Amino acid sequence: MATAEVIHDPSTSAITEAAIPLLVRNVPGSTQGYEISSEAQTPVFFAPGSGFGLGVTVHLAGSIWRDLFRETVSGFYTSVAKNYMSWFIDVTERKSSVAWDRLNLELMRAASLQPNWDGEGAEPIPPNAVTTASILLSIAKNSTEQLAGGSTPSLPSLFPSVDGGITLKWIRGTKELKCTVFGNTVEVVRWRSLDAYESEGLWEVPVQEVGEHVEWLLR
Amino acid sequence: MAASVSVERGGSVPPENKIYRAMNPNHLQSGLPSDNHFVMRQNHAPDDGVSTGISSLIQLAELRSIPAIVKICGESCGAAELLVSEVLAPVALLGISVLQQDSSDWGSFAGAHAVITGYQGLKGNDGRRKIRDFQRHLVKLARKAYFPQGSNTAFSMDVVPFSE
Repeated sequence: MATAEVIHDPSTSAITEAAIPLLVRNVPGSTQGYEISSEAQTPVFFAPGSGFGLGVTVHLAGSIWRDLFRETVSGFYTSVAKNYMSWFIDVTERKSSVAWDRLNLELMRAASLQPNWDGEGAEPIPPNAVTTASILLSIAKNSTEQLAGGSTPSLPSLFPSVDGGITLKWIRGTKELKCTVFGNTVEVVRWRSLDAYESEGLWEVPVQEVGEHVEWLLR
Repeated sequence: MAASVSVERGGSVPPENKIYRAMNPNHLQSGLPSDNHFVMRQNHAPDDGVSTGISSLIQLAELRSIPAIVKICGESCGAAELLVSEVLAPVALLGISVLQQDSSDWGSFAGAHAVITGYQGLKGNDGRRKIRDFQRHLVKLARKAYFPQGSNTAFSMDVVPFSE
């Protein structure tokens, strides 16, 4: 069996015993210089092209770059967040606007229905009902934008009724609102809960007074 | 043909019976039954009403083959199935009922015809409000058991189709 052989060199043992600490110097038997210190060094990051060899400069540059880096990252995310919010609001408003436009198109489609459009004798929608429904849509849109801020649009469904009316129906949360335009007036029915059978009331009002019912829905 | 049960001619359809309501496709909203399928006006004649078929006297396929229904709804019309007791539960005290009423338009199934009627007795603004409540109730029931056009399977579509 091979055994490691320890060669005792009395000329180096004294050096080994007295070796700590050593500063830059040549270690006996080596051609390289070593810097040995018991002090822990703070890690530093060198800015490209600066601070070579100067500890103080290197530390200062590292701090500036750290701050700069931190500010840049923070600024970047703030900017992204701002842009995203602005984009989100724009998109939401645009979507809402498109949805209201679509309702107006639905109204125009209903306005073009011929007598007996359902095959069961349904009446066509008279022009004054179309005008009133158009005003109602405008009132509803304004109320929604003011009270819901456009961020949570509450859009009604719109459909013609067989007796020559136009019905707009909303469901928002637990509330339900149904407005049926007959000529120049609007029949309004409200239900406080989707599960409730009985309505809160029925009102027959001019279109200018429907706003308060839409506000009831949005509140 | 469906098993015959006793329904008195011109009398109330027993509450345990079910009735079919054919769904005019022009009235569907997002593919679902709507208010226009259950039109009730205070000025309707006393014997008018919402036309239905008594399910114990006529099968769905037979209802779908009635020429008057085919003419309006096309082949294999959509239909809702409603339980009479559920239909009348909230309006029993208001004089609303489901009455058997022969219909010459229904040919050999004339006796299977029934109407939801009696709402004509509800007068004034409050009467109109009660009719609107009842109409909404019927739409909800129709969405609970709805056979879409061409389907023999009832779907429960009791969902909110409106945007928030």
